[in-house]
Formats: sequence, C-alpha cells, structure tokens
Amino acid sequence: MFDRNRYGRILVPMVTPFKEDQSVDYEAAVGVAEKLIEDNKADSIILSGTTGEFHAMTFEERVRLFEVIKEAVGDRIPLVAGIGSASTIETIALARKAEELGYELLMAVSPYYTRPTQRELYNHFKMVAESVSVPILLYNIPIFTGVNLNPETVASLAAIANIVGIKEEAELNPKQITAFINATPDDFVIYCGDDTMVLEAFAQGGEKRIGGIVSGASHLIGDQMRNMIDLFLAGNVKEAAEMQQKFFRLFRVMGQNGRTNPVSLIKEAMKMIGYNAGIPRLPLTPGTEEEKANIRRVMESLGLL
Amino acid sequence: MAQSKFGRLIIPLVVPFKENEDIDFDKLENLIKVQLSSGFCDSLIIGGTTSEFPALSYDERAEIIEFVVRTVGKRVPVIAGTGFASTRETIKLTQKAEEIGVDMAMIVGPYYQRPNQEGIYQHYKAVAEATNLPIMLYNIPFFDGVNITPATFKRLAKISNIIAIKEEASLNPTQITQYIHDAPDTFLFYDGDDSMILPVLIQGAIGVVSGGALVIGKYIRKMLDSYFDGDLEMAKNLHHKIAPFFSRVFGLRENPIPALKEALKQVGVDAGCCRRPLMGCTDEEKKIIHDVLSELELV
Repeated sequence: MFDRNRYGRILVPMVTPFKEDQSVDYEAAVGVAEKLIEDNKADSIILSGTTGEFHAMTFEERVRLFEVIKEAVGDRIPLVAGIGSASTIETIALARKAEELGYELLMAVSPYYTRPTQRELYNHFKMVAESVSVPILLYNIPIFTGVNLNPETVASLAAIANIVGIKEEAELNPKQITAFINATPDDFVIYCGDDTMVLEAFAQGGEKRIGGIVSGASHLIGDQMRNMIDLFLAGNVKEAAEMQQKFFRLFRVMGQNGRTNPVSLIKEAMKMIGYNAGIPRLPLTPGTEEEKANIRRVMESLGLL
Repeated sequence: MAQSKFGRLIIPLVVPFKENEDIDFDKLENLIKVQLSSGFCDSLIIGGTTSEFPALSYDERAEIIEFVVRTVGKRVPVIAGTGFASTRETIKLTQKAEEIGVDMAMIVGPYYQRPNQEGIYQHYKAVAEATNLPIMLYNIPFFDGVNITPATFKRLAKISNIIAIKEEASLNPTQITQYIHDAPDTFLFYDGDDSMILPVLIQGAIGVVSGGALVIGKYIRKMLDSYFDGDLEMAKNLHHKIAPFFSRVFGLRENPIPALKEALKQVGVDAGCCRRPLMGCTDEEKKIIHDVLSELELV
C-alpha cells in the first residue's frame, strides 16, 4: 500500500505564507508549491508540518490548505498531509478529512504540550491509524512536542499495518535512528527530519532503511541535497561530506538570535530567491535587517544568490 | 506585600469529560459547587493546563468560560486561560473572555514552536493591547517549551494591564526572585507549582495557583494561612505532610491530570475522564493514590 519510491528522497515540508494581517495567503501557498515543482527542489510536498506552522493554524485553515493545494497541484507531485494535533479526537478528524480529500499519505506529529506517557502515545497513534485506511508516518520531534517516541513504542506501532514509517528529528538523539532500525522490520521506512543530520542518517541505515529527508532547507537547496545523498550512496563520501560542511552554515544561520524554529528565516531566504513565502504568524517574527544581511552573506557564499 | 482581590489560593478547575470525550457540564457544575462550598479558594481558573486546554477547540473553550462565569455568579473572581500557540487566536479568545465578563486572562507562553524572546515579548504585547482585561503571564516551560527570561519579564511588566505572573517554579526555583527585583511593587506573583509553595512564598509571592488544592485544599489553605500569620513551624509541618501527594500522586506521570481526576473521584467528587491522549489511571496507580489519600485522612 505504501510505495516509498513514489515519494522520493526529498520531502519538503512546505512553508505556509501569511499576509501582513496574519491571515493565510492561500494564493501564495499555491505559488510556493508550483515553484518548488518547477525548480525541481522537491520530490514530495508535506503540508501543515512544523515548518508549515500548523500549530498556529486552525482546523479549518489546515483543511482549506489541503483543498487548495490538492486542487492546484493535482498529481504533479505527491502530497502528504500533516494531521497531528494535541488531542486524539482532533487528529482523527483531520486525518479523515485529508483522506476524504484524496491524500494518500499522512504524517502525524506526537501530541504536544501534554507530555503523555509511552502507553498513551501508543494508544493515540493506534486509534489514529485505525480511523483511516491510508498509510501514516509517525513524526518524532521532542524538541517541540516535549515527548520522545521510544524505540520500544515505535516497534509496537510498526506492527500496525498502515503505520509505515517515521520521520525522526535526529539532532537531540543522534543514534536513535539505529535503535529504530533495530526495533522495526525492514519495510518500515525512516526519514531524517533534521537538515544537519542527513549523511549521519544514511550512514546509520543506508538506502535500504532510510527513505529520505524531510527538509526545510530543501526549499532553498533541495536539488543539491538530492545530489549530496546520491554522491554519498554511490560511495563518494568525501564529496558528499564537503557539501554537507558547506551547507551547515546555511542551516545554522537560520537559527541565529535564539531562533530554535528556523521557519521565519527560511521564509526570508526563500524571498531572496524569488519565492513569495509571506511572513510567519506571530509569535514567530519576520527576520530583522541584521538577520537578513547574515542570511544574504551565507547565501552568496554558497552561490545561491 | 501587594494585596489583591484574587487572593492567596487560586484553584484551577479540571474539565470533566464523558466516556465519549464530550464535555460533562453536569460534573463541572458539581465540581464548582463543591469548591465554592468548601471555601478554600479565593479565585478560580478555567482553561489552564489542569483544564486540558490543548485538547479543547476554540468553541469549546469559549463555551466553558461562559459556563463557569455563569455558574460561579461572581461569588469569587474567575480567571480564564485564553492562550493558544498563535497570537491571533489568543487575542480572539481573550476578547471573547472579556465580553463574557471574566476578571482576568491568564496567557500561557506560546507553545510548541519555541519563539525567541522577542517573539514572546511581541506575543504578550499584542494580546495586552487587544484587551482591557488585566493579564496574568503564565510561565510553564515544562509544557510550553519556552521560558520567559527575567530580561523579557522586565519589559513585559512595564505594560500597564500585565499585572501578574504565575511561575512554575521547579525548573527554575529562584527565577521568581529575579522577576521580583524587576517589577513594580504592585505586581502580583503566584507560585504555579504545588510542591514549591513555601519556597516561592518566602521569595515574595502573594499566593499559589494550585491544582492539588482541588483535593487537598484544606491543608494548602491552612499552610498559607499559617505562613502569613507567622506560624512557620505549622507551615513547615504541613509542607511535609502534603509532600507525598505531589511526589507520589502527581509524580506518577509527567502530566498529573489523570491522577488528579482519580484523586477527586476517590474523595467523592466525580470529575469524569480525560480527553485522549491522556488516559485514566491503572489499578496500580489507583492504589498508590488511595494509599496517599489514606495517610492524609481524606478517604
């Protein structure tokens, strides 16, 4: 039921553009999706993930985004719907809505804020999986959700037929990918959700177990990330490592001034290369002049400007 | 020491759910009745972490605030938790709460996305400017992932309708001392952590927001009164007496609400179920809760 090859290696968690009045700019969102396809930056597009600021959007806005993008993009690129919410009932409601709208793969972030136990996490994902018939990717990102999906829990969840993989935000627990690999069957796919850890993820699981990356920075360098992974998998480790070293500056400049969440500055960088990415929704704030100058410098040094 | 109509003991309500996860308004009404007749609380909060607000929709939150304001009928002040992850939705619910007639809005730090300090400042400033209600900042990094640093607090305390803060103190036990140094004398400091009441009072807090007081209100009230009457020996003894309730009951899980609802049930107040992902207590957990309540002579 889940064909990982269809989704490719570069899954871009698309930003959601907001207007100056803080409303969702659906038209600009379509423009971003169109340009990602045109620029060949993405193999798939994920909507309403962390980089899409789902947490700041209402249920209705998320559904509308699913509708608008599906209608505009059709089958030109695979789409994934981010359906995670803080409660199980809302996650199920959004999952069903996405399935109804024709989404064939869903991504569910762990329930955030409440810090549930592993037993509660298992029960949550099991109920969500049972509520739809499409495949589901788990999404582990403790830095934002406050909870970690432990390898034992992932092993239990992997036994559920339509839970087909996990996106792992790897920087906090760099070796947990290996633990997930050891705990799950070979057809359970692991995606690296951390731009700084791409080669480290492939080094742990190779082409066989690592499906690809969910990469915010790929809005900017998705084509190059694809090349970097290809080089690494072809055994050209030195060249791949040099690319990753070079990109590291770009990832880090998105986190300047205590911005744990890079989305505000990813939007600024996107604007510099012709995307109408809008502004973030408050409390996330647009880049300052100084921050933008720092981004510009790094982008220039990478030949992106 | 600042005085306040909100008093020393503020109790945050749980929201009872039915088996099908709908809100159980009958049980909520009974819970309010029990709390008001016991007379321990000076104010009530609806829509805080104890109310499982992240699992409630905007419409449900507005409906619950309206229900509580109507049920309480001005017998004690009502504070509404109106924080969301986005500034936009926080403003919307705060304005709604003002229209309903609450006495103060409590605003949790914008969770999940970990804004930087400038983002936190802009968030609270925008909300404060959008309402005439007094505002209580609610700092709880354990759940929302961000800390209001003393430097940011200092900027926020200058905004005229930001008048109070509830500080969850176990992660940063002496941060409140830094806050107090930077605030006007009239600013109201509340401890938000049941296990830290005396250590926070001694630093200058006026009182506590205590979920545990739903169950052990008589001990917490007595501890507060003893402390403010100068009977420190009694206050200390009570601190030790109730400590197992926090270490063993609240300590069962990272989120204490399922245990709190179970404890309420065991003392005769049916507070319903939790909304998932939170699940009810196991038999083993129920037994531990019963043991602690027995030692406290509450069952």
